[in-house]
Amino acid sequence: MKALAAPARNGHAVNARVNRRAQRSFVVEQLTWLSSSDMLGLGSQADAAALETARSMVVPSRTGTADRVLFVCSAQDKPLSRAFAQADIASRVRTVRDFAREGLTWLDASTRADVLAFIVTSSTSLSGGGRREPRNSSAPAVDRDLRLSTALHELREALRERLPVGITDDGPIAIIDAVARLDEDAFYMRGRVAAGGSRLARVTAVSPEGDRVEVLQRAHWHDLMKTGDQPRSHVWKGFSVFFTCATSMRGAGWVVELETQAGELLEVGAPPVTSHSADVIRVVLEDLAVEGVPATALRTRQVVPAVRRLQRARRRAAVLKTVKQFGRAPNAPTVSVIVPLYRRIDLVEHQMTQFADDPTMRQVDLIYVLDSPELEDDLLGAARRLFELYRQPFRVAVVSANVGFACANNLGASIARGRLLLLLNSDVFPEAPGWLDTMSRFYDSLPNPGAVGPKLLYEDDTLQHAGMFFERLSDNQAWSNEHYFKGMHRDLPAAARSRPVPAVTGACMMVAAGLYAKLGGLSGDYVQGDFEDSEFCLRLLEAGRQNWYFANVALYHLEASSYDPERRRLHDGFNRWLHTDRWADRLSALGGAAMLEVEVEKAPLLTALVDGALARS
Amino acid sequence: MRPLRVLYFAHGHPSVRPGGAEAYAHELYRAMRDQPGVEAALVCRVGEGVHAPRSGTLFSLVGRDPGQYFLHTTGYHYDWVYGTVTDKEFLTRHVAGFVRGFDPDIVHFQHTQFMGYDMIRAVHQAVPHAGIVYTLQEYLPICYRDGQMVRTVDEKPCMEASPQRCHECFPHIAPQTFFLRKRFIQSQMAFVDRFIAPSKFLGDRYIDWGLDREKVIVEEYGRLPTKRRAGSDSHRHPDRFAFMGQLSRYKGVDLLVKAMSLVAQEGVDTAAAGGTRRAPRPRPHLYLHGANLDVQREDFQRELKELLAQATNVTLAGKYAPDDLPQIMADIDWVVVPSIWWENSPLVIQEAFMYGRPVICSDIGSMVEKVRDGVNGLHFRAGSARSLADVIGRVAGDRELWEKLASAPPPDYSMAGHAARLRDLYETLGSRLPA
Repeated sequence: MKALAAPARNGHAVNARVNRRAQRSFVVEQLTWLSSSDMLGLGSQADAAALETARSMVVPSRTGTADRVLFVCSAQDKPLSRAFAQADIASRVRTVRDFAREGLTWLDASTRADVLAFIVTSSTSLSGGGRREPRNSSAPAVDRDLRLSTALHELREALRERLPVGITDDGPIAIIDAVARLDEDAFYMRGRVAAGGSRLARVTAVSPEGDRVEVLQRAHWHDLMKTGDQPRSHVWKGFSVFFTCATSMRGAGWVVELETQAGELLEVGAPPVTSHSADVIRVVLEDLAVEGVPATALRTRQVVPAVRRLQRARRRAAVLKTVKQFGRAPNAPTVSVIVPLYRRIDLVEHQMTQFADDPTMRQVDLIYVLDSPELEDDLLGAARRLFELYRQPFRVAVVSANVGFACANNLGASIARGRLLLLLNSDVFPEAPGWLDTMSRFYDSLPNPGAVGPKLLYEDDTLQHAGMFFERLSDNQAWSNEHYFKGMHRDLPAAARSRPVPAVTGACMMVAAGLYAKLGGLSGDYVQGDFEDSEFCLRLLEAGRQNWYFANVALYHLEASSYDPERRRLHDGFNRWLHTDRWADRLSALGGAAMLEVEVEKAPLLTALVDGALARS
Repeated sequence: MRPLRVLYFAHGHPSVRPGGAEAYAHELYRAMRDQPGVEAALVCRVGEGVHAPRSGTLFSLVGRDPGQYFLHTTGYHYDWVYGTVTDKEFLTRHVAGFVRGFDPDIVHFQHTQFMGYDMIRAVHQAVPHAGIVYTLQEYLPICYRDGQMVRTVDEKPCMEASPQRCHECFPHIAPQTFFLRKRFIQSQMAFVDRFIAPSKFLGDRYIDWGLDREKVIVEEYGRLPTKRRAGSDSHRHPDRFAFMGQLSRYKGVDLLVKAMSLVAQEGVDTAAAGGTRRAPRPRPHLYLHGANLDVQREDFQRELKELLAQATNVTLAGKYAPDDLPQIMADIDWVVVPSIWWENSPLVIQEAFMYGRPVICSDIGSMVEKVRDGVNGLHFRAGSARSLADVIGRVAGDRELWEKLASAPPPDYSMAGHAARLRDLYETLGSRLPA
């Protein structure tokens, strides 16, 4: 346009200028938008050079003339916007489907596969593959990725070679049980395969966007027990695999291709992607619960990396999206009390009832961290009324997405203003006023404190917690956390003495804020609330600190969690194993400080054992 | 000196529900209002079925008396387990606003049902200088089973509540919930300055439960005087027995009917009957003056109806109004109170004594405090139809015994005295600006 609009002055010079500009006009055949700012185009070599794009590949021309070039470029590239100044360029923009049909679907299977691979790789580098900033902080980026996913999916559908779906009696057959999203570029897949007469040569997972990942070697294979729902009398094997791939956003469309050594080919569709974190965990951990599946290799190579990836993704995504103060924040608070809330908020009223009648609580930085963001409106509404009635100042901090006990506490700690932190469960209630002051003074009196935990009671005045220790039944069992004197009456003399202990419960745990931050807070690698507290205490021991049981203050711990027992068992198995895997050597080395076999039937003997343990440690 | 301002809260108004509790609250308010130097108001909770208040307020006048209000709780869900309205705006905006406006020296709770125990806290916050009084009418703070302290597992009175025991009575409610319930209620009740216990037995149960002994005062309900004491025909056998009250299992109606059937089968004790050929034998008969059978549990209704169908010496006399009492009392000899729960201070026992009728009652709880065996009434073994039948059979023909018991002087229940004593209490609690 600009070239033609230039007024003619010096005819010769203008002609030269026009010619030069004419040389720079594009011969692009067609273009399509991959997203609002990325394009795929088909044109000449010169076009690709002029667009200064490195992302190009040569494809044969339909008409048999000079090869053309398939290129990918971004709207941020200046040459593209300059190219768009040419009116006829705009008219060559097609829909993705038309683009594929006109330019690419006629190519042979092998070239089409190359084309697809090229597009996937190029578009990955476009999106800056492996972005690490939190998802929710960049809505336009999410939109862009979704559009890109949709475009890539359409291209995949237009270009990929379909394989047979496996209906012959003797041929291989496969069922994909689940595809679970750990992160935008990490997945976990479970399925079953009967190879038929011959062995498998290739198992390829194809993402909805067209990325291809070889999983045969990397998967964990195990024999399957015969169950009723497996068709035919083939020998079935189950597989579980953790793998990474190019960013995949679509909720459905995974396909798995199989090839046997005999050359038989088969493809099977996978169910929609499991993405809700609770369901993803179940998919990943369920294998461990199946009898007969050897656990160790499965755990170390598939389950543990998968869980870590998932937890990391959840942590990255989670921020405090709302923090609201009720009442006047205390001036220079000594203690911040952090109470995570999960799935229920009715207990807040009951804690308020007890805190409100305790004048010392007015100076406390009380923080409720809501780890179930769907309850935000309910909680904020109730919070305002509860403050008006109880006059106990507090903050409500809402997490952007459910992150689990460890991260909820860490997020709370990140906004805490006190020098000391007290992690408190929502189902823990003080027995009498003044408890927190007493605990803080005790903490400050210790020469080298790590974590301090008080006496916790069940509603019938028996002991729920009086310190924790580690125990295992034999060398090849997992270490478990045990509570001293659990279930005995609260007045038991052995539980009336404050003393150093290996660990204390996270249900009510005091620790210096600086120390908490230095150690990085609770570990987010465990699945839903268990062992994070004991592990934190072990890290404190390793850092040379001492953990204490404080007997002079008692609170009630009602253990009123809404934790499905089935799910609890599943999580527990994994957590216990992870804990042991990380700490077994050091637990054995800790010796007397870590282990204390207690015969709970014999009360006088208890005292002697406790004294003996202290003497040894 | 400005007048003593007293604000009462009750769970109902007699014009809406004519029950004994509502009537007492109303009579007390009027007695207090009519005292010189006192300004009183009565706030009665009301639900559906009464005209709605103006928008923006939950309060409306009952009638023309500027001191009687309805408090409309329609739309505010009440949690019976903890005893609190879920939406605290009810308290922090509406109740607090009203109380601040009235500016009382004393707030006296007759009940907190439908309004919440945390109303006590809200009132204290709104008017921190006011004295707070709470009348204990039954055991609701202690016992989730309608405040009766009767176990669902065996229908026997409960000696002591605990999270585990309460859970046994209500298996679908966790022990932890009962733990929290007690702490919640006690925490709110900490703001009460004085508790009024209409019987010592009830007061002691609450002290055992955790109330501060110093705060519990034993003080009977005050009653308006009767029109006249009922006379009695000395030529008849004292063989007419009456039950007056709710036809519920807690009140022991079923066991009373069973006892009457036993008496019908076995006949009366002839020695006491002094039966000669000419004098007619005693024919014990029971008159059931009561209501609300239709709101009792299905199984109890069926059971009682079957028992009544077989009984030959029982008459279902239906509901009665306070004005009917003189005639009812005139036509009967004994009032029977066969309750299986501890009871508090049954209004019907007071009425029996006011009209000169002895009481036969269960030998437990507050009943034995009010009725002394052989002085103004007789006891039978609680929960035992057999024991009750023995007593009925023994006394139905014993005129001499009846005369002795009926002539015992009745305690002084006068509302005037009651109101005066309460006023003295209010004066010591309330803080008023000196003249």
